[in-house]
Amino acid sequence: MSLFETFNSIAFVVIMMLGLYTLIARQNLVKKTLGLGLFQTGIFLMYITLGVRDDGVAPILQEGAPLTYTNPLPHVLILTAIVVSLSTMAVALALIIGVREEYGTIEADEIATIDRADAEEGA
Amino acid sequence: MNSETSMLPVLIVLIPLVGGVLAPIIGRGIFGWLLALVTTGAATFVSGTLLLFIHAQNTLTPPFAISYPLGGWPAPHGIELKIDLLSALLATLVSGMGFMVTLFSRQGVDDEIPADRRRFFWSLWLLAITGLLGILITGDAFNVYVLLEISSLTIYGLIAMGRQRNRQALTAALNYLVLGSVGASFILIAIGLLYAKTGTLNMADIHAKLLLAPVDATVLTARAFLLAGVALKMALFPLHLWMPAAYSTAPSAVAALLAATATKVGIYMGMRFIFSVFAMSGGAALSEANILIIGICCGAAIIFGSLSAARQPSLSLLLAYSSVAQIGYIVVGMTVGHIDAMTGSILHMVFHALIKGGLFLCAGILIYRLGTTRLEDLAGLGQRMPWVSGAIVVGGLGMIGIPGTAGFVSKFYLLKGLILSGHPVLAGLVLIGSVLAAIYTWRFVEIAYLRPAEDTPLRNGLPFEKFLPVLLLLGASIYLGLQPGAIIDVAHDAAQQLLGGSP
Amino acid sequence: MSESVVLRTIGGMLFPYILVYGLYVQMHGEIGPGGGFQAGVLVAAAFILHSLLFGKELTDRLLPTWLVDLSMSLGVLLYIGVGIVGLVKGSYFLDYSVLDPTHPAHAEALGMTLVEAGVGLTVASVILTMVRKVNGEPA
Repeated sequence: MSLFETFNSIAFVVIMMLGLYTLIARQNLVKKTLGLGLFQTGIFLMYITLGVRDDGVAPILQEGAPLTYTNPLPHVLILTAIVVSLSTMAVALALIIGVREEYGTIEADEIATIDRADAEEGA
Repeated sequence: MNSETSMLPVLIVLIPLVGGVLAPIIGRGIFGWLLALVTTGAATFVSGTLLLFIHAQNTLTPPFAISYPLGGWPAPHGIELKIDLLSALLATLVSGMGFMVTLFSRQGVDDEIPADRRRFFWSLWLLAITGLLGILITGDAFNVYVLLEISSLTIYGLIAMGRQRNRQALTAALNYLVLGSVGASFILIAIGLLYAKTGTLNMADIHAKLLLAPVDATVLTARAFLLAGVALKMALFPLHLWMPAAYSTAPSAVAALLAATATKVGIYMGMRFIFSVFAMSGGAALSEANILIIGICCGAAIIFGSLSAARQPSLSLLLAYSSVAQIGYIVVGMTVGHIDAMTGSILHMVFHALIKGGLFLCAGILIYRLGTTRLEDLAGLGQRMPWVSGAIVVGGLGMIGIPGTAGFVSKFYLLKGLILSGHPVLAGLVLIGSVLAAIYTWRFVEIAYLRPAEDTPLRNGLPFEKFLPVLLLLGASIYLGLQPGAIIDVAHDAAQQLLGGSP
Repeated sequence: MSESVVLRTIGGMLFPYILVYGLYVQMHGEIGPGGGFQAGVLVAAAFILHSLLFGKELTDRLLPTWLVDLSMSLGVLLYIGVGIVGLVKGSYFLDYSVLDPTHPAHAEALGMTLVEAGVGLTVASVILTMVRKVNGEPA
């Protein structure tokens, strides 16, 4: 395992855990969403590290190009995963806009208080 | 395989996909509903044809599965669709439930979704069904992740469309989005680790390479991440927290579709990965320690889900918590890896989808006519809506597992498998769960039949097109309870294929 | 909408070049880094820049909302359509070689170009819609 891979392997776990922590610990819904994005970014880094070879080049067939190339498949997969993550963000933000319209706040604890008050009123 | 059936596998996903893409363009007014009805009907027809074809071939030359190389690239390098009996059975179930709920929901959607959003509703609806069907028939691990996200993202949007009736739909959808995305990310990590280990994404190929290599930390980590992610998606206790809120606040048609299909597809993913990818050569897929942990989760799901169901304030929440318990039954059956238990598990998936789908449609009718499913407001329902409350009682009896209903057949196989494989404690839990199901069904009966009727006016009459799918679904569950031979046959063969390690 | 003369002039000058660059990335994706995803984002970015500089109304006149809605679906339909040609001609879904039976390499290039065009169309319109929705139109 090269130095680069070791560094990346540590880095992606750190990034993922930062994201997961933000997701759990923050009450602000936008910050939660950002945490989710960070978490997914960590996974992208893991995939990209999988494809790396020392001194590898882009896998395009050319005259005189060296035979060591990075594995393109994880990159393709992660391109798809990035699009998925972007769509998740978009859906989450759209939902948060709706929450803000309906509740007037985007703090999870305040929303829970409002919902509880509603339930008691209805009962 | 002849040339007529050779393009059927891809049509299963292609038909609802085209429908979902066309819906925003031509889906105004009644056309969206018609489009959804036609596409889900066609998908049901295609998957039903495939089910019969595969079942017939499988009795001749077991094990039989159809492989369809996309773009003509042969597996394992290309992406293949792989349909065995379990895939075909569940694809028929999912598309059939999609058709039934679509049939139900013309007026329901008119009622609950504003006019200018309806074409997008139908688009999301069909794309969700596309994603769920895709997971069932693909043979490529990364495809599972992508299709899972397609179905999940559309389902978040569908749940959020319940905001007109109940603004908590938004927070429910957001909670589901956060938990669902974390679950899907876990699955993505697992697939990445498997790729790092084997260098391939084709499930059959991963399985073949895993059999050759010794089990090491990478494989075990991958399995742990995968089980955690799948458990989130199938709402296995204690990871079920997103489910009750989502089911009870979503538009009634969406709740019925979700309860009948989405969690079932989650369980299918679990089965597929455990038995077709991770299964070790010639032995059990899960060790006794794994079975213990999952068994505890399932037992807790059955007890906790049933007890919570008995003290919920509304019928929708009651049904949602009862789903938590039913997931427990299905997972406990698949975990032990015994042929009878697996048969019971597959049967219970099908029957639970029929019964719970029918019950959520009944809840939809209540919302349509009464505007609420709060149990307090349902007093005297037996006189006011004899047909609907009768249907709810029939469904409840099915969930208890009274002999003569479909629930009895599947629980019988579950018990037989659990006892024969040496897990009498788990079998006892299944029995206790049935008693608890009787408690929450009785609660409805007590309110609906033994309390005096209130005289709040009904908003609407009982539309036949809404009651027809309820009749068909619950009627099917009774019919299959009385004549279970054919479906047991299919489920048994599907279980055999799955346990045989054929992907 | 920006009032700054410098921004509006430079932005207005850049707008066509960003579009052309998007087109280049789109067509070059077949043989080099690029393709529908990246090109779609570039094209969408050009229109987002336009609406930031000159206001939503002017951008809507340039690129009507209904056209964006339509091209979301059209892009996917183009992709599926290429796949269905394979089915209709008796081969597999997305089998490019049926597009030009005499010359498989040409068929592959044609198929990929069409599919990438579909991807680009959908990505550009989806990104534009996302930005529009997040910008305050009812979601």
